[in-house]
Parts: sequence; structure tokens; C-alpha cells
Amino acid sequence: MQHILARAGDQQAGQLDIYRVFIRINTKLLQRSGITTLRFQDDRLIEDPELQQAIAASVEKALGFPARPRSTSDE
Amino acid sequence: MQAQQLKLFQDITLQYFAKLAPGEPPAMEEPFLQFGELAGRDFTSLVAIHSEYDGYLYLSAPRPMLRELLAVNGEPEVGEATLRDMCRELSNVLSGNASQAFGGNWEISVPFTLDHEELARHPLPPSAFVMPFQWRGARSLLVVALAPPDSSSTSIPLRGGQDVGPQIAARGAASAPAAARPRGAVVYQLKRPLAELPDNLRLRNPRMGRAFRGHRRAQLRPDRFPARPCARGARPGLRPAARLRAARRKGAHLRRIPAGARHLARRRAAAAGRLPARRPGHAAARPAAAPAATPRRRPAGW
Repeated sequence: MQHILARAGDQQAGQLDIYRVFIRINTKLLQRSGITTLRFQDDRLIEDPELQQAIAASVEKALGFPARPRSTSDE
Repeated sequence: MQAQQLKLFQDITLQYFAKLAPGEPPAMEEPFLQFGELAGRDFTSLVAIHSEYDGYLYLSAPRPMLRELLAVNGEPEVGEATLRDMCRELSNVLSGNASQAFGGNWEISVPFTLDHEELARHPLPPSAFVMPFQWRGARSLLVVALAPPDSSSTSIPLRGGQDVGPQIAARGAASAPAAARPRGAVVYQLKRPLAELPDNLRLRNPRMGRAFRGHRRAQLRPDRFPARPCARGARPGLRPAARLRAARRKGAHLRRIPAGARHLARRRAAAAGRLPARRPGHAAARPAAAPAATPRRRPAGW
């Protein structure tokens, strides 16, 4: 989410882009991982590989750039 | 949906509250995304939208906020009916704001209101962008709920997979097959009681309101409610003086004679000896009833 917000430049545009990404994801996948409410300042770790793939595919389809994997240098 | 459109919609909605109470502007909270059921407030004003995404814009407000709005608008009576009326007013405001912010290639439906139970039963898109705000101590939710763009383009998809309401019947449009309608056309079907009509159909005078609602009902659903001919030959929504002028133009005053004038004309004719013969069924033409042979008695035991 921080990557999308940073690319958008404007905070509200970035939040809308994040919403566009998550619209395309099946809510059952999100609810299975315990995500029913998502705040933009949240920092969540997703361990479900199916959900990870869905998010990556949705970012690429909705925004046109690949989702940046989180590297160990971000810790 | 562009970010500036959403920002504009949010700003002009909050400005509505700011104008009502200039010293107490609403305070916007951090927005969030909601997946699944959203805990709505007591009353919700909704507008359906359709473009590249289908979905709803809605404002869910608790009773304290609606009471404050009624107080600001000078409404002394606070009850379920007035709270719902205030919610309908908010839905009209929302519709106007949506048209202003998203006008262009977005289609906006007629606004409608739901209470808490109706909102729980009403199918909504599974994900929502929620913008909470506080005004006068009450927390309300301004929500944009959109469906995935890969779903059906002419209807708003639901969690249950059924097709969605709210719609109001346009004359003849509901009977047209879906294939004949242009892509993106919004068809409205009346699915709620006619008693719950939008605010712009309700007039100050309840008698005029009833007449106008009947007239409007005949316009919206002529197959179910054929228009009754007005006795004065004029549209029922007119004020009395205008209605009389319209009736005179149609010559209604030449065809009808008030009952009092008829009686007066008969007396003048009787005095002048020009009274026509009574009809056979008239009371004066009937013979007087014969007196009873035995007097009436009460039955035994009285």
C-alpha cells in the first residue's frame, strides 16, 4: 500500500488506487486471512499464497505496474 | 472514478453540513476499506451509480445526527416519519452532489432511503471505501461501494448473485426487453409503496398532495392506475383559482348548475306557474301510506 501511495503522489489518488486493487480481489480470500477492515496506515503480513497472487495480479491489472515485493532491507 | 471527482463529492457533501452550522464544520476521519458487511447507522440515503464501475454512493447517519438536522431546519416534531423525511432530504442532497461531482459519463439513479433493517437486507457490493465524519457529536459514514468491473455491465452484482433494485418505472421503459435498451441505460421499476414518494412530489397542502400524487401515479403507471377525468376538466395539481379558470376555458360552468341554483330556478318557475309536471316517482305523486291496522306492540319479555 505504501508503494502504491508513493507512486500516486496524491494521498487521495493513492487511496483510490488501493481501493481499485482490492475491488478485484475476492472478498472471501481476504476474509479467510482475517481482513475485513483495512486502514491505509495498516501494516499486515499476508501468508496465504493464493491471496498474495491475487493481490499481485490485481495491482498489475488495475494500475499497470507490478507489485513490488517487500525486501529484507525494508525491515 | 477519478480522485478529484471523489474529492469533489466528499467536499460538497461536507459543505452541506458546514453551511447548516457555520461554526461547527464536520470533521473528516481517516478513510478505510471495508470487505463484507458494513455496520450501517440508523438511516441510510443511497444513490446507485453506473459507469465503468457499478455501485452505490450512500450516507449512513445515526438518529442523533438526523435530530440535529431537524433542529437546524426548524422542524419541531421529531419522530420516525420526520427522521425518515430528513434522510430523504439527505438522499436528494447526495443525488445532487453525485450529479455535480460525477456528471458526465456516470449515470446516477433516483435517490432512496433505507433504515437499518432494510439496509441489512439490501444487497450491496462486497467492498466499500468508507469515509467517516463527525458532526455535532454524531459519527456518520459516507461510503462509495463499487462492484468489480468484470461483472455484468448493466446491473449491479450482489453478494447473492441476484439483480438489484431500486428502480422506478418509467412509462413504457420497463416493458422494453433488456436487449432493446441501450448499453448503460438505467431502467427504473417501482418496487416500493406509492406512499413513499420522493420529497419533490409532496406538497405543503396535504389535500393538494393527495391529488397530485394520484395524478403522478397515473403518469408513472398508466396501466395500473388509469387517469380519472377531473370533474372540473383541469389538472388536479392547480391551485383553486387556476383550476376554476381552466374549467371555465373548457366550458364546465355551462354544463353544470349548482344545486342551490337549480332549487332557486324551480321555485321561480313554480311561482310563475311554469313548473313542469312531477315525475311519477316523486314523493308528491305517490299516494299517502295507509295507517297500520293494529298498533305496534313490544314483544313479550321487554
